[in-house]
Amino acid sequence: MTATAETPTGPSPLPPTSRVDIPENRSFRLKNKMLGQPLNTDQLEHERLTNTTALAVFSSDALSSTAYASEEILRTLLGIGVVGGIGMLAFNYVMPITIAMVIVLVILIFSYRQTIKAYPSAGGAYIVTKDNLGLLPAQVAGVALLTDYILTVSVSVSAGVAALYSVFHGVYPYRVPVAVFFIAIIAWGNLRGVKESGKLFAIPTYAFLVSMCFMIIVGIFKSVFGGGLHDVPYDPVQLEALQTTGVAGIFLLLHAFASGGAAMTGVEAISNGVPAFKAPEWQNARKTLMVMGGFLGFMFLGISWLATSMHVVPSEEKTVLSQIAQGVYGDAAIGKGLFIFTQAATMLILVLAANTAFADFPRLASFHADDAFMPKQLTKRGHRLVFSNGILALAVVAAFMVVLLSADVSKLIPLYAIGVFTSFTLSQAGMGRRHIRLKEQGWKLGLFVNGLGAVATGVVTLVIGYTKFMHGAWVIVLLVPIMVYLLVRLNHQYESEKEELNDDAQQAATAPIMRRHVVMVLIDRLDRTSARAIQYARTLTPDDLRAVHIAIDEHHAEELTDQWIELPLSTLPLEIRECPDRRINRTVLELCSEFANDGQTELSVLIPRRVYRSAWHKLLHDRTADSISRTLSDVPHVNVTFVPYHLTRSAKGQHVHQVEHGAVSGTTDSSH
Amino acid sequence: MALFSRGTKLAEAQRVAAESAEYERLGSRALAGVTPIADTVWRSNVRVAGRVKGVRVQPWAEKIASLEITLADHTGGLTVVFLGRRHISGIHLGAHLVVEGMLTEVRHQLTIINPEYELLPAKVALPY
Repeated sequence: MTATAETPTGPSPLPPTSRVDIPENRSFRLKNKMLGQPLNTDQLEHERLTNTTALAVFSSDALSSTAYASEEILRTLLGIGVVGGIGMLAFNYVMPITIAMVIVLVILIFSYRQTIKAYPSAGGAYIVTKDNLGLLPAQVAGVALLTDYILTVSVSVSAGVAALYSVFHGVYPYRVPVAVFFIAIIAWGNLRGVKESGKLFAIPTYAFLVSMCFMIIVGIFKSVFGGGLHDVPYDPVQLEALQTTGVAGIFLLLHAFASGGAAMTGVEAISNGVPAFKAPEWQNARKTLMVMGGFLGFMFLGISWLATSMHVVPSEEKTVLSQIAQGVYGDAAIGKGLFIFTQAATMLILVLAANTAFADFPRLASFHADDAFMPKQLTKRGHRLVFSNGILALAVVAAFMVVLLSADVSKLIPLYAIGVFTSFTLSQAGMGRRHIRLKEQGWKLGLFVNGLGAVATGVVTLVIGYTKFMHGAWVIVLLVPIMVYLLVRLNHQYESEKEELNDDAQQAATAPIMRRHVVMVLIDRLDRTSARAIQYARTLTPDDLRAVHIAIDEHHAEELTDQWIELPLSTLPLEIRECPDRRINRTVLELCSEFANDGQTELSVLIPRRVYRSAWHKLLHDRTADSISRTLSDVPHVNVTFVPYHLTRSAKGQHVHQVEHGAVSGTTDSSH
Repeated sequence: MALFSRGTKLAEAQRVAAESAEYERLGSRALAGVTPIADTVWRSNVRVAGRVKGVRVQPWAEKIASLEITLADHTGGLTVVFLGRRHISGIHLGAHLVVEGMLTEVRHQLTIINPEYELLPAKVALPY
C-alpha cells in the first residue's frame, strides 16, 4: 500500500511525529476543547510571588472567614437555630469571645513562624507531622485537613452565595444550584490549571481588604464622632422571641467560641507555600504571615465590634456582614454603591477561598498517595499538569455536602474547624518534638512557642469537639478515625503488593522459560475478522498452534469444519469444543487450564476483535471478546492478545482502508 | 375408558422397562472392564468410556488425514486419534463411546492412536 513496502531501495526515515495520523480519541478531544491544549511536563514550574501577591494568594481563605465567623458567634449566642441562646444579652459576650479567638490567632501566628523557618520547602501539617511524629499521626493530621478542605469549599461557596442573596433576594430559593454551579466553575478553572496566578487573586482579595477596613473605620468614626450608626431594621417577632431566654452558661460561651474557630482556618496556607516566595523565602513568608495575621485580627475584632454596637441580629436571608454594611453606609445613593461593592468583594473572596482549597487538597492528597496511603491515581498530573483526580474528588464531595445541607453556612459550620485544629495541634506538637530532638539555636524559645501553640490549639480542638458534638461535629469525630483506618488498610495492601512485585524481580526475569508455547486462535466463523487473527497467528512460531471453535450450534460447527478442511493451510488444525451449557467463557477457561496447569506451558490466546468507530456500533454487538479476556485473566500463564479488525465507515464511502495488512493503530492510506 | 387408559399405561410402562433392561444389558456388556480415565497409565493397554468433548480436524493440505477427539469422563480426559480418517459417522460432539488401545504420548498429552471403538447409545449411563 505505501511506497515503502514496495520499493527495493531500503528503509526510509520515520515520519515526523506531527504527521503520524493516529486519530485522537473522543475524551482527549473533549478535554482539549474544555481545558485547552495539554501542557508538557517540563512546563511545570513554580512561579515566585512577591509578598503582596503572596498575601493575596495565600490569605484569601483566612481573611474570607471573617465574613462569617462573627456571624456564627452571634448565632450561637442568640440561639438562632441552636437551643439555649441568651437573647439580647448575647451582645455582651461577642467581644470577649472574639478577643479570646484573636489570642489563639496570635499564638498560632507565632507558632507558624517557627514552622516556616524549620520547613522552608513546603511544610504542611502532613509533612511536619510525618517528619516528627511518624506516619500514623500524619495520616490523622492529613485526613483532618482534607475533610476541612472539603468543608472550606462547601462553607466558602455557601457563604459566597449568601452574600449574593443578601443583595439579590430572588436568588435565595436557588441557592443550592447556584452553589453547585460555583463549585463546578471553580473545579473547571482548576482543571484548566489556573496557576496560583497573582493578578487573578490580588484584585478580589485586596478589594475585600479595602472594603472591610474602610467599612470598619467609617463605622468606628461614625459611632464615635458622628451621629451614631444607622439602625439595623429588626424583625420584631424574632427579636421578641430572643429576649425571653436566660443566662450565659459556660457551655454556651464555649460553644460560641468554637463557632468562632472557623476564623482560624486557612492560617496554615502560607506555611504550605513557602517555596513560592522570593528569596529569602522563609523571611518573606514570615513577614507576609505577620501582615496577614494583623489584618485578620483587625477585621475580626472590627466586625464583631460593629455587630455588637449595632445589635445586628442574623437572619435567614441577610448576613450579618451585609446588615453591618447597610447600617454603616446608610441608604443614600453613595451608601448603596459602597454596600454593593462590599457584598461583591465578599462574594468574590469567598469563592476564591474555595479556590485555595482546590489548590491545597489535591496536593495534600498526592502526598498521601505518594506514601501509599491513598489511591495512586491521586499522584497523577492530568492534562494541564494539575492533580486532576484530586480536583474532581474534591469538587464532587464538596458539592455533595452543599446539596446535603442545602448550602446553609450555619449547618456546615459545626462540621468545620475541628479538622483544621486537629492538624494545627499535631503539627505544633511535631514542631515541639523537633525542637527537643534537634536542639538548634534558640530551641527553648521555639519549644515554648510551639508548645503553647500545641496546647492552645489542642484545647480549642477539644472545646470544638465537645461543644459542637451534638450539632454535627460527631460526623467528623467518627469519620476521621474511620478514614485513617481505611487509609492504613490501603497502605498495607499497597505495601504487600509492592513487596511481592519487587521480590527478586531480577532473578524472576532471568529464570528459565516455560518449555512449551501453545497458541490458540479463537474462531467464531471464517470471516475477515478471524482471517486477520489467523494471519497474525501464522507469524508466530509456537510449539503447538491451533484454532478453536466453541460449538454453541452444532450445524454451524459442522459447516465451519467443512470450510476448514478445504482451507489450504497445512499447519492449523481446528478444534471444535462442545459447550452444552452455552457458557463460552467457562468452556474456554476449562480448555486453557487443560494446557496451562501442567506448569510447563505458556499459553497465548488470540482473540479477534472488531474495532468500531462509534459508540453506537459497540452497543449493537455483545462484547464477547472482552468478556472472555476478563475471564482468562484469572489463570496464570494464559496470555490474551486481541487481534483488531478495523471496520471501515464504508457507508459514507470514505476512509476505506485496506486492513488486511493494517497495523494495530489503523493507518489510513492517503492514496485512496 | 378408564380401563382402556390403564391398559395403555401398563403397556407403555412395560415397554419402557424392557427398553431400559435392554440398554442395561447392552451397557454392561460394552462397559465391562472399563477403567476411569484418571486411573489410566502411560504405555499400558486401557479400555475407557467417555463423552466426546472436542473434535480436531486438519485441513486437506496436511499430508496425513486425521481425526482427533478429546474423550472425557468425570474423572479426566485423553486424546484419541484416528489416522487416515477425516470423518467417522457417529463420532461427533457429545457422543458416548468406549475405546480400547495402547496409551502413548503425542504433544505432551496422553493419546490412544487408532483404538478399537464402540459407539454407545446416549441412554447408556457412563460409569465414571
